Amino acid sequence: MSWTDLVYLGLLLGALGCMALIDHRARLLLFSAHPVRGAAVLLTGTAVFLAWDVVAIGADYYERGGGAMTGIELAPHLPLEELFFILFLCYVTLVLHGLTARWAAARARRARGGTR
Amino acid sequence: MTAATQHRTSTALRQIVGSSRPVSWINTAYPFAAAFVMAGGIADTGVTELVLGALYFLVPYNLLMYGLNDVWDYESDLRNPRKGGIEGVVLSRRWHRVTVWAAVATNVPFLVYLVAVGDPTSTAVLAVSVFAVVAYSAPRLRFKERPVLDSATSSTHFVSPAVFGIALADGAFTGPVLAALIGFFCWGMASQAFGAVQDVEADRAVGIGSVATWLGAARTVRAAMACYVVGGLVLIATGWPGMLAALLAVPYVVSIAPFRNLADADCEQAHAGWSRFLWLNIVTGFLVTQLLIWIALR
Repeated sequence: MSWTDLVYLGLLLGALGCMALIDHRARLLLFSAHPVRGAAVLLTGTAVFLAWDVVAIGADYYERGGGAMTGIELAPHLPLEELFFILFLCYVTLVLHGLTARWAAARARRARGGTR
Repeated sequence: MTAATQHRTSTALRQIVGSSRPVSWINTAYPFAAAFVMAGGIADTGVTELVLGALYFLVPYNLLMYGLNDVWDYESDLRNPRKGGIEGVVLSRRWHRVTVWAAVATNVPFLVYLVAVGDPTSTAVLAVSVFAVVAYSAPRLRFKERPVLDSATSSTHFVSPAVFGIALADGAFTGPVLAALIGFFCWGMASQAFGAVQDVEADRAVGIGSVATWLGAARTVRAAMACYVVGGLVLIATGWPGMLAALLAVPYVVSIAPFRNLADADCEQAHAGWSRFLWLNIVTGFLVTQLLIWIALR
């Protein structure tokens, strides 16, 4: 195994780390006042997409491809990296959702001429 | 390590990272990585070259560019409150030596590696790249103070990593590839020129030249708009579907159009356009990525 096999997994972990930094800074999800609720939403999303993958692989729509991967498979055609990709996809969506909701709320407050 | 030294080390690290402009890291790493991948570099050259090249253009390259710039610009930066925010940390004199040392120490190993894995063409491009970075702010050369050359040099900072990526991947400089690079170069010149508008008064006050002090605020904005349009038109020559990137020039023109009659005395109002530009780049980068994925999958 060459170190380049770890590149994709490394990039995913790096991107997840970046999401965690934003989360930590803005207190959105895992670092919010309700971390358990945040984690539950994140894991539910991940589980749904994982189920989607399993169904799609079973129906021969998806198959493993690409390089720079560890080659570790959780199930046939389901690489380890896919789990982290789905986790990232859900995390980035929830972070964007949190930031957008906060931005919209601040805008609405300003529009009403509320105190700042 | 005592608590005091630990504190000093973390302050130094903060200063060095801050002066490398983390918000701009992506602007140089992405052109390299995207060009390398699109030119078929992964198959022909390798993932190691991609990763180490991208890391080089992510941090050390920017530290060399902005760190040296901050050191050499110290005097004029002191009089510019804008340089304390997102665009950088005004370096206090005591950090100058640390910054220069860090810039050289992080650049040399990467440059040695990139020369070793490259060929004469890629090394020539890399030399142009590093020269443009140093010449931009180095004493005597001071390309940033020479109207038009300032915009061209700044654009070279962002386009040359892409040219280097193609050269390192042994990619061919075909018509569409050249069109993409020229369009990108026009975008870079326009953006630098517009960025200089907000500093017209501050630069003139300390006797610094730029494309904007030379043309004045309104004419610089118009020149930048024209440059964006030319860049967009050149992108049409990339063929389908690359030509869709021409549409991405439109938001840039629209974004700076409100400043086309800006009086020099009001130049700082252009900062609102600059903040919008920083956001626009993130959205545009996303759309360019989708386009590149489409092209790669065809």
